Amino acid sequence: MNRGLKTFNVINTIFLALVSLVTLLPFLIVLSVSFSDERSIAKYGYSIIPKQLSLAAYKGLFGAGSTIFNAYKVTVFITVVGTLLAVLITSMMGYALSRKQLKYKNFFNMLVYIPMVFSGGLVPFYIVLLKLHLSNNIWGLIVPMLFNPFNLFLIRNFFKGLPDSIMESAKIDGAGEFRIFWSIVLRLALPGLATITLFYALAFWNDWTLALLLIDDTRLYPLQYLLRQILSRVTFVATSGAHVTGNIPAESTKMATVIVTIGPIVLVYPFIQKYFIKGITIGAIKG
Amino acid sequence: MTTKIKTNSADKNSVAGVKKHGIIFELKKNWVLYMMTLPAVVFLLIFSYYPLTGLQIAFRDYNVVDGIWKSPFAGIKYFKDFFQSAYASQVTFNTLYLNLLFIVVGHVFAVTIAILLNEVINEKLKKVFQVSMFFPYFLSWVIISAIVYSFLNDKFGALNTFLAGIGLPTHAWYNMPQLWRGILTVINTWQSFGYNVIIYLAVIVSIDSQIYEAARIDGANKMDEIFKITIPQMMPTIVLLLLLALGKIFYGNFGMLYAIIGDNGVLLKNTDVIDTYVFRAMRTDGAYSLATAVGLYQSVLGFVLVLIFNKLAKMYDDTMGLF
Repeated sequence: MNRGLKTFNVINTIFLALVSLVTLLPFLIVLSVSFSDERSIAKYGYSIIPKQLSLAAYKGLFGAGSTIFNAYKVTVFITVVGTLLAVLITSMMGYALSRKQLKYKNFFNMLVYIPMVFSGGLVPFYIVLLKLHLSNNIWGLIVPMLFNPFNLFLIRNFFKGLPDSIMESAKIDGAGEFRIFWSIVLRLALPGLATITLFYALAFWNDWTLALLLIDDTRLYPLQYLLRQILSRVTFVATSGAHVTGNIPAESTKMATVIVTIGPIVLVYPFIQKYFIKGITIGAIKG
Repeated sequence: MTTKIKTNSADKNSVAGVKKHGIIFELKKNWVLYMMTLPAVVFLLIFSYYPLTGLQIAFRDYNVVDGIWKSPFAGIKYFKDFFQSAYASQVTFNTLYLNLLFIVVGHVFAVTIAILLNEVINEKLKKVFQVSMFFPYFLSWVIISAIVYSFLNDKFGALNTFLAGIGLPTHAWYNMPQLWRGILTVINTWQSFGYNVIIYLAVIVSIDSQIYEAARIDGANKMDEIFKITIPQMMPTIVLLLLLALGKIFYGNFGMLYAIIGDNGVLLKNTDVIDTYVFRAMRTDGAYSLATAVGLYQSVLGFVLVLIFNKLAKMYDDTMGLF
C-alpha cells in the first residue's frame, strides 16, 4: 500500500467515525439530560455528560398513578397483536401471489398497486374509521395498519425465491396448499418473515398519527402519543403522575419519557439489524 | 368443450361440468389460495377502495347528518375557495420544494457515505459505523421532535448552551422561519441516510471486482476507481431511486412535519405542506369538504407525477419501475 492510500484510509476512517458520532450525538444528549439533576439543567443547559447525576426523572415517571405504565401496556398490546395479525394476513396473501398456478394473480397484484398510486386522501379515510367505530377504541390503533403493500411484495418476492420442487413434492404427498404454506413454507421463509415482522413491529410501536386522529381517552394513549402530549405540555398535568415544577414538565422528565418511549426495539436493534438490511435490499429492487 | 379453448388445453385437473378455463373452474381449483388472499382483499376494499367513494364530498357541502351520499351539492366551490386563497400556492410550493431538498441532499449524502464506507478495510469498524448511522431510522417522529427540541429550544437547548459557552449570541430558533427548510433537510437526512446507505452499499458490493483489478493494472488510483468505476456503476440505481422518489414529490411527510412543527404559526409559512394543511383544515376548522377537495387535488397531481416518473424509470431501464 502506498503512502497516499494509507493517508486516505486514515482520514476516511476518522471522517466516518465523526459522522457516526454526530449521528448518535442527539440521542446521547437526550440520554444525558434524562439522567441529569433538574437544577443543573436550569443552570447549565443540556450537555453530553450529566453535570449532576439524578434518577429523579425516572422515579417520577414510574411513580404512583403513572400514565406511562398504562401507555406502555397499550403500546405493547397493539404492537404484539397487530404484528401477529399483520404478518399472518400479509404472508398468506404473499404466498398465494407467489404461486404460479394462481391464474388471476395479476388482478390481485393490481388490487394492491392501485392504492399505492391513487388514494382517497385523509378525509374519506377518516370518515371510514369513524363509521367503523374505531375512535376511542384500541382496535382503531391496530386494524388500519394490518396490511402494508411494501411488506406484501417483500414477502411475496421471498416466497418466489423458494425452490418450487419442495411445494410440488409436498403436493404429491397429498398436502393441501394451506398445509404447505403453514408447515413448510413459513419455516423455510423464516428470514423473510423476520424481516416483515420487524417492519410491522416498528410501524406499530412508532405510530402516533392514528392516535392523533382517533384517541381522546387518556387511558388508550399509546406511548408515542403520550410523549407528544407531554411535549406539547397541554395535558401533561392531567395525564401524568410525574413530578412537575409548576405547570410545565421538568426537562429531565421529558427526556426520560423519550428514552422510555424509544423502547426495547432499540435495545435489540444491533442484533436484528441484518434482517432489516436484508429486507431493505430485497424491497428496494422492486416493490 | 367450447370453441374458445385453443390448442394448449392439457389441464389435468379438469372438474366435470365446468369450463376448463372459466373463472368458476379456476376458483374451484385454487380455492384455498383465493381464501388466503381474502383478509388482505377485505382490508384493501375497506381501507383503500371504499374511501374513494368519499371523494364526492369534495363536490358537496358535507355534513354529518346527510353523510357522503346525501349532503347537498356544492359544485366546484371548494376547489375555487382553495385555489383563490394564498394557501394553494404556498402549500404546493412548500411540498415540492421541501421534498426536492430532502431527495437531492439525502441521496447525495447517502451515495457519498456509501462510497467512503466501502473503502473501510476493518470489517468490524465498518459494521459499527453502519449500525450507528442506521440508528435514527428506528426513531418515531415524535421522538425526533423531542430530540430536535432538546437541541434547539432557546432556554436550555444544546445548541444555545454550546453557543453561550463559546461566547456567541444565542437565538430563539423556533421563531426563525427562514432557517427551517434547512433545519428540516438536515433532520430528514439524519433520519434516513442510514437506510439509503444500505441500499447503495449493496450496489457497490455487487460491482464486479475484476473491473477494479483491470483498472489497477492500467494504473488507476483510488480517485479514478471511485469516479470512473464506482459512481458510473451505481448510476442506474441512483437514477431509479431518484425517479421513484420524485414520483412521490406531491406527498409531504405528515408524520415528520406535524410532529416537529405542529401548529407553530410562525414556522408554517415556510413549512406547511399539503398534507399538514389538509389535516388542519379537517381537524381544526372542521372543513371536511375543503380538506377533501385539497386531498383530491393532491391525489390527482400525485398520480400523474407517479405515472410520468415511472415511465421515465422504465425508459431508463426496462426492468425497473413500480409497475
